[in-house]
Amino acid sequence: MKKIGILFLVLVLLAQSIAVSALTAGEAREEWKDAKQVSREKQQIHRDAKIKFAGNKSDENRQKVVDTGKDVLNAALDEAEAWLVWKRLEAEESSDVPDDIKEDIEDDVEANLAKIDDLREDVDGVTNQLELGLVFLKMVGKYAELLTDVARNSGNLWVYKANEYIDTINDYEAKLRAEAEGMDNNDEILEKLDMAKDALDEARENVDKAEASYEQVVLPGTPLIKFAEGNNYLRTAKTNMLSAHSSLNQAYRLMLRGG
Amino acid sequence: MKRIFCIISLIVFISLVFSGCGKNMMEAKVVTGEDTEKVTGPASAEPEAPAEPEAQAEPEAEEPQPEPEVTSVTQEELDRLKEDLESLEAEDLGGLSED
Repeated sequence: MKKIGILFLVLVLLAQSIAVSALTAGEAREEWKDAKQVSREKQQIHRDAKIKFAGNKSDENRQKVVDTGKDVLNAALDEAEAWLVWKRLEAEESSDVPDDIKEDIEDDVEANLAKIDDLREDVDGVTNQLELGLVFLKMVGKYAELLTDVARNSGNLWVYKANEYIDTINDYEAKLRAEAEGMDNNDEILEKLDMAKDALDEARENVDKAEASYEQVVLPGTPLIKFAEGNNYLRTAKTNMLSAHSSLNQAYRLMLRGG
Repeated sequence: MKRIFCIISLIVFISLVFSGCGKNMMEAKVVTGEDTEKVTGPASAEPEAPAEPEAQAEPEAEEPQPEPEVTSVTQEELDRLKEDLESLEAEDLGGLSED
């Protein structure tokens, strides 16, 4: 009976770990956003502690600065780790992305997760403000290093997907146009298709700009700024594509009604 | 008694595994969203694409009036494309500031 009880417990623990490890990219993204929020909060707490210390340089306030500073660094590492885990899962779940992009992301994620473990040890070893300052400086530099390669590869992954979607929209537009041209009273339909084509051209331009920005996500340089720039272009391209889709949809419905 | 205990533990084990892995499969389907038919669907025209209706799940048979086969692009394909487009999200990184 005792053996069965132990076996039961082992099975439950094993099942729990399997269930937990079955994290999806969507869930990982939410975990990263939570970690990002926590990181922002810890930074604010640390700023408050520094302000308080500036007003009253007691030992207690001094220690508070050190402790909250360590919390900030650990939270930043948690955020970076959560982001890397998300990126890995996102690449794994992208079935139609070329293997070389996926492999690059996976390799870079593994390498950088190991670096995070090393940095955690540095943070744990901090005992005073001077050490905190030194580790902070080291972390600011390392942070970009941790994320640059994976950020660039993620950008490339999104560009690939965006180009696939552009090809699909282009394909649908061409098919609908070929059919519309054989219809009577097709002016409005063709107008909608022209709008779709214009939006698609803008999308292409923005995806190309995004790609150019992502190629500059390298060190030395300003990788995170370039990454954000690429993201802006990609978001604009997404808006363009949705606009093209809307025009296609309207053209389609007009065709169903006979023009 | 022992047998019942073993059966119960097996059921608990399986349900825990499937509760994690099943969620994984569903999310993966939603996140990727791309299926074999998405891109360059050649002329496999599926005629069941009415103008308005719910068209969310596979619009298989419940067409009150059979829509004419007007186009080789279907409403389902357009809807799936929209889902794919909406899933494209480029998120900025938080960064670590020095202040």
